[in-house]
Amino acid sequence: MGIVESWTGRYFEDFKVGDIYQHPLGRTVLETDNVWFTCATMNTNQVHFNTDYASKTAYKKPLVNSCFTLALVNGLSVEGTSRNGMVLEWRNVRMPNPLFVGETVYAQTEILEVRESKSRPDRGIVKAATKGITAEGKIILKFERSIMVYKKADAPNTMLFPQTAQ
Amino acid sequence: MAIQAGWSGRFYEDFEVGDIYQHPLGRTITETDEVWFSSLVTSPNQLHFNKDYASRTHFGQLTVNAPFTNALVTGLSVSDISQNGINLEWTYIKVPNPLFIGETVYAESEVLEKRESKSKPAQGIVTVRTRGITDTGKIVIELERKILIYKREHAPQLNLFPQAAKA
Repeated sequence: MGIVESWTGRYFEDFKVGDIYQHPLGRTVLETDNVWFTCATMNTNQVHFNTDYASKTAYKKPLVNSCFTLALVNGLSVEGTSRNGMVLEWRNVRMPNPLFVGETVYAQTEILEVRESKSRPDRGIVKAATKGITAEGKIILKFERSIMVYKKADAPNTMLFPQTAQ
Repeated sequence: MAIQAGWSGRFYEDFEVGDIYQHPLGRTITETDEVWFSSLVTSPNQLHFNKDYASRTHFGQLTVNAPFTNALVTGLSVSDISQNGINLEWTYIKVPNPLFIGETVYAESEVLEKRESKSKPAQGIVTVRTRGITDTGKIVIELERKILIYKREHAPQLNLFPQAAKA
């Protein structure tokens, strides 16, 4: 009974080198995602939105825009990694296999490094390696990412939920 | 008078190391981009869609989701770089300054390297460094990427445009 705390993501203190997070949400990639995302970002590569063109490439069908794949795999990982932080940089973003419409993507992250921030005492820096994996086990994306994460006591979401007016 | 071809992007032969392209399209970031995009990629960091939360961070306002900035700046560069190619990797993506709603982003790329593909004779590999720059000159993203690009004669869009059926 009473107000029970919900999952608000990890804070700097919660990260341990070697820990692996299997992020709970998977996401099926739709044809709409691919076409809409590609056009919304002014990307003119027809392999993402013209099935006639795509049929003449080695893939024979539209390839999912890797900017979308990166954003999605990164997004799926946020609940366990950077929900209380911000990204500083990505390194070695690679696409070992193509991703196609209709496939379902999951994300898994391993913590590589944890250190205090020199300039900001309320935050620390976490380095992690994330993989995007389809439901069949195909690895479609890999990257390393450095994020700056709040310590629990300094996180902006403390006391965020509004108090009901009388 | 004749049928004139439109701009169909560069092919492997067209790239020269040291060339700089200032991509012609700029794009103003809207609030819709930010909230829609973050939700679409299931990213639960409230910095991108909750103004109450964002006001309590040192940014003081909603900050554009960096994967969106990357996708947009990469996207703006495609007409000059990879319209006839496939992205192989980003070597790095750095976010030196935050990007905010209402700011306008342009992209500029420099060709760093080009070489033949060992496994695919119809394509070559080009490395570029691309920066996203606001209209006030602030650098909001810097990235390096490698693209596998078709040689002109092997590109899939040759003779792509349909012939109209006879009435």
